[in-house]
Amino acid sequence: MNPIAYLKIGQKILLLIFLVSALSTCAYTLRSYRTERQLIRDGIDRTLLVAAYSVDQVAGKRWHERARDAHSIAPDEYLGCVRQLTEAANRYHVQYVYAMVEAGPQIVFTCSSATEEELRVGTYDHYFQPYPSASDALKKTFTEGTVHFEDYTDKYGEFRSVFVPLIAPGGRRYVLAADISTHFIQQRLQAMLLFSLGIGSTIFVVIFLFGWLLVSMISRPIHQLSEFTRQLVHHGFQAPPDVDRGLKLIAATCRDEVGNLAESFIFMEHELQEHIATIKETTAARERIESELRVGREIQMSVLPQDFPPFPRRQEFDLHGHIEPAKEMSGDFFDYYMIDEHHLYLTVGDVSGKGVPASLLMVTCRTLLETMANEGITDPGEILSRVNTEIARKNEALLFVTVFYAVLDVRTGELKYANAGHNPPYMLHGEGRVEELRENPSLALGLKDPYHYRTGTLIMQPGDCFFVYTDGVTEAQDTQLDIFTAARMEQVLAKGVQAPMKELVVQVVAAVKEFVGDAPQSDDITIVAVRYRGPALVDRPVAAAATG
Amino acid sequence: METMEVTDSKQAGFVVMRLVGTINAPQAPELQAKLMAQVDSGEHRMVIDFTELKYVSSAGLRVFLHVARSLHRAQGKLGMASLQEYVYDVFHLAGFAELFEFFPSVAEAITALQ
Repeated sequence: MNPIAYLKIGQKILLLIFLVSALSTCAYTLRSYRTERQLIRDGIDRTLLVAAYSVDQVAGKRWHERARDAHSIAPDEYLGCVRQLTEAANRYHVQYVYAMVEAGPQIVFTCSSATEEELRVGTYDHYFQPYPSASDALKKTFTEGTVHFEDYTDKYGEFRSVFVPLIAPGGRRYVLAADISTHFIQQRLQAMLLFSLGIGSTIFVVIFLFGWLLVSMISRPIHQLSEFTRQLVHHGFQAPPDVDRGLKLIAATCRDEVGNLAESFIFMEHELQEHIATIKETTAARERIESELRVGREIQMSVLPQDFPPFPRRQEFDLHGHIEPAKEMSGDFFDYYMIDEHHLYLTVGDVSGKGVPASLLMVTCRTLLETMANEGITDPGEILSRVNTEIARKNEALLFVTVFYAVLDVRTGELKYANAGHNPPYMLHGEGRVEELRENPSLALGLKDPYHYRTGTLIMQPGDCFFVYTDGVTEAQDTQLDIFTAARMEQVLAKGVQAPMKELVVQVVAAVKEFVGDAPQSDDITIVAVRYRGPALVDRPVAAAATG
Repeated sequence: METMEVTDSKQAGFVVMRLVGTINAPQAPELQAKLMAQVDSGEHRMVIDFTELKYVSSAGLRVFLHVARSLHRAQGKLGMASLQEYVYDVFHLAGFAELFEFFPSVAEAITALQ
């Protein structure tokens, strides 16, 4: 990234001001200098012209016509001219004024001013003295007949000359010239340049100073604000008091955008603190709930029947149950108890929905069912009717629970059962026939009150088993959202009819799990299987003894 | 992958909700949303056309229960028309058969419920 980007705001603005100032100063200085130089040059050129023309005034128009050879003008006359020209030169502050004509291939002087020294010593240019090295400009002046200016440097210094071509009355061309030392031009120009630079620099410094002041005024609050917010973040949005004060000060003193920012930050800080506090509370609350749910599940699982076989000394039946909850707390349940020596009570239930509401209803339902049984009610239909009335009260949420309730008399194999909306259980006959107990379907508990639940009756033969399940088995989904179906379950049942109950249950559960694969478990899976073996040998009445 | 489609049309003052496909737990929320949208927008005379619904699970049953209850409260009417045998079975076995009115076709449902 561009190093300029790393500068602070104030520095960036200052850099900008610096560049602008520097550019303006340079532009000004340059312009100034050029203008002055032009003026000076124009002045000099004017002077040169005037000085050159003065030769005409001194020498007169006919002077150059008379110039035929070195003897055309007498030395005295010449000298007089020289002195006058010298005066003129001095008057105009030029080095020399002079005039020339062409004589054959050469250019010769017709008159010239002289320096004091030259006059004294007599080394001034004599009449008709040839001009040793005529410059191109001079030659052009003769040939083209136009005024030319020329800058040249010789052993004496730097000079500027003008050559003015004129025509004498007789038609002869002559050139008037003036030389001026440009050394002083340089001096003047340098002085000019320095002056401009001086002015420019002063302007620059002034602008820069003002700029710096302004920038400080603006950038200091910004810098402070930036510092404060950094501290705010560093302290996890709990600002130390001096930062708080500083922010409030900025908000109070700056009435511009910076002040608005500061106010916003103060507001945000406050809001953030509240928000963080709320989140902490919510998270803590959620964690409490989740840990309670975990504990709840453990409690729930611990009261569900765990040990199989539950009644090891009872030979009349082989019972195995299995439950796999989908979420922490389940809606499925099963229960069994020997209400007396001869009767096995069995319930399997499924509460609609999942999670906390379902599990609460589940607990209620189980408790009610057990209570009814303990009060001596033996008819499954009646038990369900009463429990239904209790649950249907105040059931706004339309929760309902399907229940299969059965009572097995282990002496006779008589099975009385009632079904409140639950999946019809299967009867697996000893000879391999799989039969669904489809009659007597009734409404699930909790929906319609009062409701009469019918009790069905059948006799189990030794070797028969019945198999109760919840829809978590038949509606288990794989990743394609296809379901297991009762048909698949029936297949497993048909194969395992002769197996011990535990093994049968394991087979069904394994088949479901294999079908489901990686898909998440969507509902509680519950299975209870009971095989009736026949009355216990011990219980058989000893007929011989009774009759004596 | 099972899918479900719900389309609605108006016939003789009833809104007829035609269901296509299957309703398992994943489709249940969408079904409920679409049916309840009709109820909430004032359509209190509804017939649901089950002709092309192949399967519904217990999760789906709950949706119909909810809709029936809402319509009942709004003094509306709900007819279940043209259920396939298997689907009717699911209602029947859950004991829900007595909670709804079933008809062999949409036309008969409309006539009966007018």
